[in-house]
Amino acid sequence: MDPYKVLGVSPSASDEEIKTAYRTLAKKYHPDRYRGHELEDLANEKIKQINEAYSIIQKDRASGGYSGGTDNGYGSSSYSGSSYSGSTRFADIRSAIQMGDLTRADSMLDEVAGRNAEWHYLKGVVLLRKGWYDGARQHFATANSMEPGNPEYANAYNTLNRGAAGYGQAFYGNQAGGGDDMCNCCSSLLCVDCCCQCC
Amino acid sequence: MLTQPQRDIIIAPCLFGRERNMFGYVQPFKPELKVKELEVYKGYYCGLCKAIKERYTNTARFMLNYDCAVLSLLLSSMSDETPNADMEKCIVSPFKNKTVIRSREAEYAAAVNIMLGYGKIGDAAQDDRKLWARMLGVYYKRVSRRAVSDCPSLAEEFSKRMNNLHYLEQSKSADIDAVSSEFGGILGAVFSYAPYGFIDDSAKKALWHMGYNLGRWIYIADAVNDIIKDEKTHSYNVFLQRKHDDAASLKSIVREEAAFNLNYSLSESCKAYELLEIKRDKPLLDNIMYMGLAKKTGDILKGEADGSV
Repeated sequence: MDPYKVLGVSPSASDEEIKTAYRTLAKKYHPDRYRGHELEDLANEKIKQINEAYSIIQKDRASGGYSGGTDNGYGSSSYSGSSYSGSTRFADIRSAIQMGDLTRADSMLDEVAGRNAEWHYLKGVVLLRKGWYDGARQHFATANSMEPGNPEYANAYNTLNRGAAGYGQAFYGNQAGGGDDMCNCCSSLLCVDCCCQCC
Repeated sequence: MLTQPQRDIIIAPCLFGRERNMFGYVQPFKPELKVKELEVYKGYYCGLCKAIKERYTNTARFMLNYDCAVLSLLLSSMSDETPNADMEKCIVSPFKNKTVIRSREAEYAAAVNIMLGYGKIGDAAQDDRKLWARMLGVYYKRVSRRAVSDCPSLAEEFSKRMNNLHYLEQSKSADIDAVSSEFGGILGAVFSYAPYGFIDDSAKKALWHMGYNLGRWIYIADAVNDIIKDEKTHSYNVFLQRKHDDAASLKSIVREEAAFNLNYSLSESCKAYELLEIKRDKPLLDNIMYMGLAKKTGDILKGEADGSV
């Protein structure tokens, strides 16, 4: 493994550049971003690689006066499961989800008679894992409105919406120099496009 | 600047007429591309065209589409072998040399291109009025059989999912997740079934996820884009399955929901893409994933997607 390649920097990069590259990557593959995700294990593998690369570089450059050992701030912390307070039935469903057995979790959910906030939340989790985002969002919204104060449900709903909003912003934000207005941004893009055609 | 690829792509919509044509959504955002990156992109497009000609037939090249060129580019960028770039002339550019990038991965992309293109014809041929489609279907049967025998497991998954989708559309499903996940499954298979040694199990998993979400996005993008047209022609559209006065007002109602579904699918596709080991042409792929698709999404939501990027 070439640690510099892993971090995407040249071997002549300054310590500061390496730190920035490491931070950017660590943020990109942060366990929080992939928690409970189908690709969680791959992301954890990646973050391990990045941590390793960073610590190798730091060791190599130790003579340069680095203080304080290796920074293993971003570990592949294992998901400890959420704190549930519901009935044992829901606890079983939660553990089925945890083990990745979505079909079983889904059929157990279908058998439940009373559809409370937790039911909608869990249904949303199953749909999300299955890649059915629209349904997931609807169920999270229902769970949220049935039990407004619950941080777990609110968090699930907000995370989902943030995920969607984050995608568009990455691009439009870059282009418009911080302006949030999409129209503005596109018209300036059009101008850029015109300029390209001219020369 | 874009003479050659564009001439090819014009043929396809004409042939497909008013049928749903889910090709051409995945493209780079050109104003942000470097000249060399654009050259590479066009090179892969030409390489795919040549691969179709060599393995299938010369005339099957009319099915050529940009999305499969991106597939070829993506898979090649993961390979250890650097593909060959040559300067060649061809039928649409008989005088000027064009960059043609030939890679092993173009062969798989060619098979996918034929299969998706033929599936399109088969779709149209089920409608009795579409005589041209039935004639084309007969003519290209042999070509498509070859593509099927080249990638049998993909073909199986493809026809299974297409049948499911057809059934859902016939029964006028109003479930965005159900319909879009069938198409997502097709692209998931397309991305992850590529028969190359450099794609290990974890890369396969990430590719499936990337393809699935991209497929979902394409299906929903196409549905949003076609709401008004589909209402006029009384065609199926998942969004038209809800109560509405007219398509334009429905479009503004579903905009928020569509925006969520489109953006979330893309953010998931990017999450998977970021886990792939891209060995070359990363800026070009990044452009497609973060800018080209975002631009298209913005255009579709605003209702002005038909002008190409």
